[in-house]
Amino acid sequence: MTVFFFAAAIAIPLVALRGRSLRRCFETELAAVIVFAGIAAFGRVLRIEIDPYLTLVAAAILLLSIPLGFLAFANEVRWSANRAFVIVAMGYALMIPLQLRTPIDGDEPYYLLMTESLVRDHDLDLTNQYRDQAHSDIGRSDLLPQPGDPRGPHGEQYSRHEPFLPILMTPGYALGGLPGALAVIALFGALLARSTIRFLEDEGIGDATTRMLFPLIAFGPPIVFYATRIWPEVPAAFCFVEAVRGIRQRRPPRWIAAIFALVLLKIRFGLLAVVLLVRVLRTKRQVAIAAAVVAVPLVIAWLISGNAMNTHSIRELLPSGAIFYWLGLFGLILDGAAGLVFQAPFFALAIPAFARWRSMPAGFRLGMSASLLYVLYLIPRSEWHGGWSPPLRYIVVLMPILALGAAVMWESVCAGSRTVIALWTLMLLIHGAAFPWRLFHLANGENFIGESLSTIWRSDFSRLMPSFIRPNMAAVVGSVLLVVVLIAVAFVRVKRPWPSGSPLVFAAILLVAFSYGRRPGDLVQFEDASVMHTGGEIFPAEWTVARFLYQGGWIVRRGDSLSFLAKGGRSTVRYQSRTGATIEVSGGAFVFPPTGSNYGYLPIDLAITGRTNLRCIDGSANLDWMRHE
Amino acid sequence: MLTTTPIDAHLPLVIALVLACAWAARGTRLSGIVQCAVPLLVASMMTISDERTRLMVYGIIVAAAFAVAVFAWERGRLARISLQDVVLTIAGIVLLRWIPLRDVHVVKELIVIAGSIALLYAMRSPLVEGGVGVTAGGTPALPAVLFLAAVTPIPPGKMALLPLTVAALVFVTRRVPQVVIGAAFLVFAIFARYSLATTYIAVAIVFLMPLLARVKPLTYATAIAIFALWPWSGIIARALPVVRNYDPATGSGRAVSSALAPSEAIEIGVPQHVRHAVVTTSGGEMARLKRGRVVGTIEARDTRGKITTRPITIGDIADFGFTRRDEFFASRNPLPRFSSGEVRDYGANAWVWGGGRIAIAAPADIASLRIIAAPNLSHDAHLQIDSVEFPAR
Repeated sequence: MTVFFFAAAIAIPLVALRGRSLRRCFETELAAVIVFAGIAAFGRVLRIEIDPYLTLVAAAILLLSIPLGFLAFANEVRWSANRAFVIVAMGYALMIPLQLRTPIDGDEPYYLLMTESLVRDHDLDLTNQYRDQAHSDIGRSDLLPQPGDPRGPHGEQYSRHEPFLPILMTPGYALGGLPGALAVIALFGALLARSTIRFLEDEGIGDATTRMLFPLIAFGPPIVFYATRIWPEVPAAFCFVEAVRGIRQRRPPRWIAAIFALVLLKIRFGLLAVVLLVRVLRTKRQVAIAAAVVAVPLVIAWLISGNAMNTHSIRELLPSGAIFYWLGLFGLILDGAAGLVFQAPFFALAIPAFARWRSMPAGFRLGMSASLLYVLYLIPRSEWHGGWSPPLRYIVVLMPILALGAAVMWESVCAGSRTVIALWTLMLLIHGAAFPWRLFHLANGENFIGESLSTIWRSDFSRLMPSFIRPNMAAVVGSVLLVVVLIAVAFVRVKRPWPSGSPLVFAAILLVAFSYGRRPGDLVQFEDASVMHTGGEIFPAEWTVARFLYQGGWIVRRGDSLSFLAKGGRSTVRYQSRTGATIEVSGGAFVFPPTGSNYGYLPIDLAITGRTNLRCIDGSANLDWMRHE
Repeated sequence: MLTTTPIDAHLPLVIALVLACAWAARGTRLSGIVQCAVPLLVASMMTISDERTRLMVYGIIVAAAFAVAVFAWERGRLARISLQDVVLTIAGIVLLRWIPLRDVHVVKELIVIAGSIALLYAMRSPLVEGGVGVTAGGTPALPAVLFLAAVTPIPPGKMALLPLTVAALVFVTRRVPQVVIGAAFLVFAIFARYSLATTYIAVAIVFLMPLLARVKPLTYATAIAIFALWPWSGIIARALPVVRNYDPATGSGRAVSSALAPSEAIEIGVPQHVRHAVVTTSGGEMARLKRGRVVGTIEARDTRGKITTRPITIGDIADFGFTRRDEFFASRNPLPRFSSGEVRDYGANAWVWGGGRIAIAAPADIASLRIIAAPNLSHDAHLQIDSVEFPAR
């Protein structure tokens, strides 16, 4: 792997740079290797014990970021969308083995089983695939059909997923197994990068800005992770941007083919297609084509699952409660685990672009208006955050359009903020590349940053991260701030970028958050990482399907204990217990009466503010939270 | 975790120095990048619980920020000393010499700073550079100045004048080929005792800069890698070769923790079927002994009764604390050939324990191991036996 990284570190400059820039880039890379070797040698003397895999991945990514930095800032470059394609293809080729460090997860094994079935049995019946998982590349032996997967009249076991992605992966899988299948997705990722570059150029983004943003778009989350895993999102994003480009350039064959493929990939993308088609239809012939474009995927879905909408229903489009729209919409932007700001900060720049809608490029307005129905369908869903998948799953398809909005806003962002965004993106990339399993996070209201800090400091840092999965005060504050920012962006025009002091502001925010986070909060969620658990178990069990629909908690039985920071004085515990329980909290015993299957509330008094120990003396209870009055 | 080390305690000072670097790079688009070192330092403080890993990360972040600031300021600029140069020099010297603050001799350190600025001025003078109009980026003067400042020993107090003296020498000899003078100092370094050799090498680097400027990536990379060790800047100054001499333990060790007075001996039990042993030893009150002086003997008696002996010399081991700031200049010890590499303390006070690892091998299984301190040691000297290990064959 190290050899391939070095090969890429040599090849990328050769593709992208020329003249003095090329020489300087190689010199800088050589210098970086020397610095790394020197520090590693001294680290050996200091006996620094650090995960060698993480160190190597981080060093390799930093090394590869050098030519991309030169590409962004140097004058003597060789730059075109096709060269961007080659660079991205090399990058994704390196990322695939890193992502395969752990078995594929989420929906990925199902797509792979379908591909295997197409290659080996030439059908979509997965019965034998489920029976004989030992000979599959899915890397596990306990895979079961997903709830609601359709069955055929003769007992055939189908998957709920559309077969177009497996069909696309068939040649790759036949040639190279799982890595070959992933290579097909990566190829779409590289095509997506190429099309996005073209899209930015078409819409008037300057060459220098495009070069600067190229690494953040192509190698930043979420695209880089979806381009090297088996999900239909990246091929769909490619089709979507090609459809928008085709419409903007008035090239019907291009947008018809792109929209057709988009809907074939996932029925839900039909919502994007419908609005796009409505925007472009001029003649009866075009209407007929559009009807076919939408109808054919529906017929295919009906043939496979017996339902033209597959697992969806038209009811999903009906309005839900306003609160769900708030949760979904602001969650997709601000949520610590599933929002743009924390998980793809570059693309979050596109959000203020909405406040300047009229001055945005036409491509951005077309793409985002086309996604209105899709977003309205997505945000009230309980699974708006993507469920068991890498972050931002459902909006990866919109990323090329968001990239355009972000590119426009980039010009008005100061150098310090740009650096903070770039460093944050780099951190997410290294984290996701070194620990691919951490891309999947239980939708429990925490994220890996909050969890890590909570674990280190044994204090609740997760409460500082806005969560719309388990709504908290930070989510409310974040939402208000976002609205204020959007209003400010809409009405306040600055002729020059903001003064470059934002890293210091960011550092100050970090320091304030750090000192606040180490104090006890008003609310203790008993299942959180900040609580030290000695015995007991999480509720609901970790792999419960649609776990986010449950109210979490920690089940304690006789002898189990918890330790956490809490404020002194009157607090209320929310719990559920069939048998009742006697629980000692900071030296005082409290009787928790039985509540049956409902949740009950018990007031307790804590003598002091600080570390509090809770021990179950008798019975059992599912402890949800404790709130300071 | 927040104030467990002097470096953590001095983090506000470090942040102030980074901000000084950002100021030096102001007006360039790289200033924002330098500022990013501040949130990165704060984030490291928050997230990395292992002490040495955290300090190493501090080191890398600040070194990167410093390098970016220097690069941003130097690029394309004419070779004249400026306020930014002075700020960067002072920031670098404070980082390398002033932490922990409680041990700083302010007047002497100010003399070092003044001398370093003078040296920078002397190195940047047009005659040395080759004429007016040469860009400062052509010669990496700052790393050489900082290295010389870092290795300048105090005590003795008069050595605080070293940078100023070198500056005068650079100025006076500016019509003489600098490489020749640099080569002369390298020759001095070869024949000088270890504690002076580091100083000679630093002076030689000052004069060899025109040569080193021809391999700039290598020079800059080495400078950054060394500068990243500022949380242990005492090691940069007095024990940098420990990186080469470090010999990690390879087998099961047994602590002995015994100090032998002259002529005293200690018998150490040996497990069965062992033919190799490595004894980790250091000296006490031996800092003035020169290389090659025998300070003890290891005797291995094998199962056939044959005795294999191995003398312990200065060079195999050293005085345990000879690299401490106050002891170093007067010491005559070199770093042990195979050092156990135990780094103690932080910042300018960091030092390497003088323990050396001495291997002995017997032709048959060793039955007993005996270590004897030399009889001709001074009465207050002692041979400290730290541990014995028996590496797998």
